Amino acid sequence: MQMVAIVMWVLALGLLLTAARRRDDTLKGGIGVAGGYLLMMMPRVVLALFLAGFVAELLPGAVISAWLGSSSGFRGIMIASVAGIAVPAGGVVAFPLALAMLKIGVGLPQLVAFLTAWEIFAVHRVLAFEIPFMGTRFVALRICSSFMLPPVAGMATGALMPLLGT
Amino acid sequence: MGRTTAPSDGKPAWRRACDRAFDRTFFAFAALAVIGGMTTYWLKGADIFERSLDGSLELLWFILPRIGAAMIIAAFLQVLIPRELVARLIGEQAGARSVFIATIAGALTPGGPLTCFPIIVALHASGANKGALVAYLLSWAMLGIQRIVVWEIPLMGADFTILRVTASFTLPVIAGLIALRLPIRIRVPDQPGRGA
Repeated sequence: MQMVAIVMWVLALGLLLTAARRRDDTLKGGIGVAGGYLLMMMPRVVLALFLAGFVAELLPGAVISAWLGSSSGFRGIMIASVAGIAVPAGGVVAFPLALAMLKIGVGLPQLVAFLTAWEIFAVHRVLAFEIPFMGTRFVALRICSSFMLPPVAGMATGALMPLLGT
Repeated sequence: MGRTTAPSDGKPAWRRACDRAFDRTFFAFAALAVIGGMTTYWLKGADIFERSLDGSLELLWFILPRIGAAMIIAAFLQVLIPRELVARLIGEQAGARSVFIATIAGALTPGGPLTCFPIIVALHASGANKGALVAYLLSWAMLGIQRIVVWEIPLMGADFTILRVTASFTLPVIAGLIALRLPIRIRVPDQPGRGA
């Protein structure tokens, strides 16, 4: 699994080199932005990890894996899709929840449906950004063309799992 | 010291960055983590509390080497990708082609909603069709590079991320093509400060 870390660092160094070759303020600007991200995200990621650990212990594991475990099938995918809509917060809450669900044995298709529903509906984002910026008609158009995607993503995951060997 | 770009409040840049990082959200979240820990200790006992801490620490050591790389990737994609060019590219294309390009552009758009929505408004202004707008927003939400490198790969692992992305990378295109055919005409509100 250290392969992933190596690939990420190669990609990061490649981007650094590309910026350095520009010979303008790109490198300096990028390092500033990266430092800001690190300062911003690092404490949150660390908290998220510990919160995920505690939530995994506190969630009623048996109940949830009966409803959303890998044997819960299409019904589990539908339940997970609805549950994902009900997460009105950013990645700092959604990913610890998803990690906790992974730890207590929620099936991967169900987990993908959950995350996809959160990504698509994200109630907080719709209210704070999408309606003010784009208007209600755009939100209606977008929801009408994407409401079915969480179960589709979940079922596609189920179909892909044997192919990708997971 | 003596930097012309420093704003007038007199604080050095790193102090302002710290203020942003340790804001109300951070402390609310920290309180949530402490409450979670206390509840675990109280309801499940010291053994399970320690097991949970050990598991989290182990995962933290595992992901630490990736986080530095993740921040560099997210930051340099942001400074290297010329946004005006992307907006023009999507605005110039029509129909399915624009939906397709918008999906790629959305996935490559780093940053949160404060970056994404002004770009969508700009795309609309430069003539992008409604299918491209829907595909762009969905692609940013489902496949956005920043969320993947900052949150998903470190927390959920590369295997899960590859599985999810493989299962979903065509979906913004499909939704965009559906949006093109739906009889809903969008009306974007005037942006404050942009002039109608």
